[in-house]
Amino acid sequence: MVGAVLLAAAITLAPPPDSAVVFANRTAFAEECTGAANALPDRLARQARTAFAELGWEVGGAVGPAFTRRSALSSAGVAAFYVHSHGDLYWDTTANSRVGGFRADAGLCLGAPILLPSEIASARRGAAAASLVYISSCHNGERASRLPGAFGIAQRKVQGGNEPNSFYVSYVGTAWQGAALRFERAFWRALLDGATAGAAFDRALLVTYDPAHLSPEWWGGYNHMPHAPAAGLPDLGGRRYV
Amino acid sequence: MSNVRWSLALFAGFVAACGSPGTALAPSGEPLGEAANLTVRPVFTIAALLLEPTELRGLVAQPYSVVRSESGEQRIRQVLTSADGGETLRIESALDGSLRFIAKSGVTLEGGDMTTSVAVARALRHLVRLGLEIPPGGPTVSQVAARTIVVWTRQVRGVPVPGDGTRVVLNGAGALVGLAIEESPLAAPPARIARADVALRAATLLLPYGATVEDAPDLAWVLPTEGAGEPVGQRVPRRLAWCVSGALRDGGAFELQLDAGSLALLGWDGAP
Repeated sequence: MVGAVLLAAAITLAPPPDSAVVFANRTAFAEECTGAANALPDRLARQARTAFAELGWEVGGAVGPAFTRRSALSSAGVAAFYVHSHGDLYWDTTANSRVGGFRADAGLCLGAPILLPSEIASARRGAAAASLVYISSCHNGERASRLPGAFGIAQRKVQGGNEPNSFYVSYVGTAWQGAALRFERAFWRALLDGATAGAAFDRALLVTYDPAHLSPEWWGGYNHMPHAPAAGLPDLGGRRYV
Repeated sequence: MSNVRWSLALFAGFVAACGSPGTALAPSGEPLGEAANLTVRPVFTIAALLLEPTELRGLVAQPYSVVRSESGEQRIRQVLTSADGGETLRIESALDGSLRFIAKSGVTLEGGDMTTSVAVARALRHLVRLGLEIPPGGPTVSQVAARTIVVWTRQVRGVPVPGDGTRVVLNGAGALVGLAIEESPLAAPPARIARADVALRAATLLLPYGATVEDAPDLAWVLPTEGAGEPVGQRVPRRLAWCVSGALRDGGAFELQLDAGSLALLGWDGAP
């Protein structure tokens, strides 16, 4: 009961408009769960944190066991959201369908709690559409995933004219971590170089990841610049990407 | 003018840094610099092949920069911007002048229904127009987010070098979005390559309870990532490895990379 009240209180606290979060599941990929040391979740999270901070966002979140269902839902109202974890088209009993989502860390090798799109949508009730959402997981780039909608982003690509001020990235099918590391590194670098989100995505397609290991997808506005509102655009000495 | 002067100074410095005797730089419109067998194709020459004449109007060449690619190769980067400062075209050349990377910005998201063979034909046409070598072997073609990626993976003695090779990204109508050519250094192969079944047994010993491995490991040239993590911007040679795939108890896919000779763990990859 107390837990439910605390959870409800946490998820009704609206994060400030310049805030971003980065969550990563470390435990499920750790040596005690997989048999081999794996620093990729930490590296993916560090890349995202650095990029968000340089784009002007105040970055919160958690990597490892502190990434719980509660901590993720309590900050789901942010404008910029990154998560690296297991993802799938999980079953939502209320919708009676497969809807997408991802697992928290919660210190568990197997069976960590799942965050469903409907829960994120509830936690975000009243919040504006997110500026940048990066779901670094399997399957949440597929049309069946309702995560984009949970963050207020329609599943369409718009380039020129009435573009939404939002950009969503995730992966179709199985996404390998090594490939994701390379793709994401290139995406963040291009954004920090002043590329629009769509141009950054195009740039990232050119790096040396194996297309059989990663199939990225995006929705939103191609020319969106996902900087924190207060940060303004970076000073590129008169240069920027289209 | 100051840009030109800055570019020439940087270029001269670059040549000097390579320890080669400096020679006169070619005039504008010719190869940008020829020194000690170094020739860099000017960005406008490439732009003329990729952009319509109306798109070329008003474009400005930014000063060169010397950068390192992801695999650590030193390159010369040239960028064209439009009058409002937007980047239109970026190219990178290796020190021997060969073109390595092209990225066009803002290529339209035209829909299209390119078949695999049409996509390969379009990619080849772009390579030929740009005077690039036609890669050997058959490419793989994948559709990604309204783009088509055509990849010729480099093979050395019949063993793939994942990530190396020629990669061409097209829009739905076959227009070029970008291309990248990567060639990593390779370590000497081990004097004696362990048998596949021995590699499989070695991999099994590393795995946790409940994990299963596939029967047939594959040889590949991989970047060692175990320990120090994946090196970025460093010229680290790839090593010949046995790649063992399988599934963890929860069904998650994994790949272990073991040195093809010593069977030491070189790297790990997983799929969340």
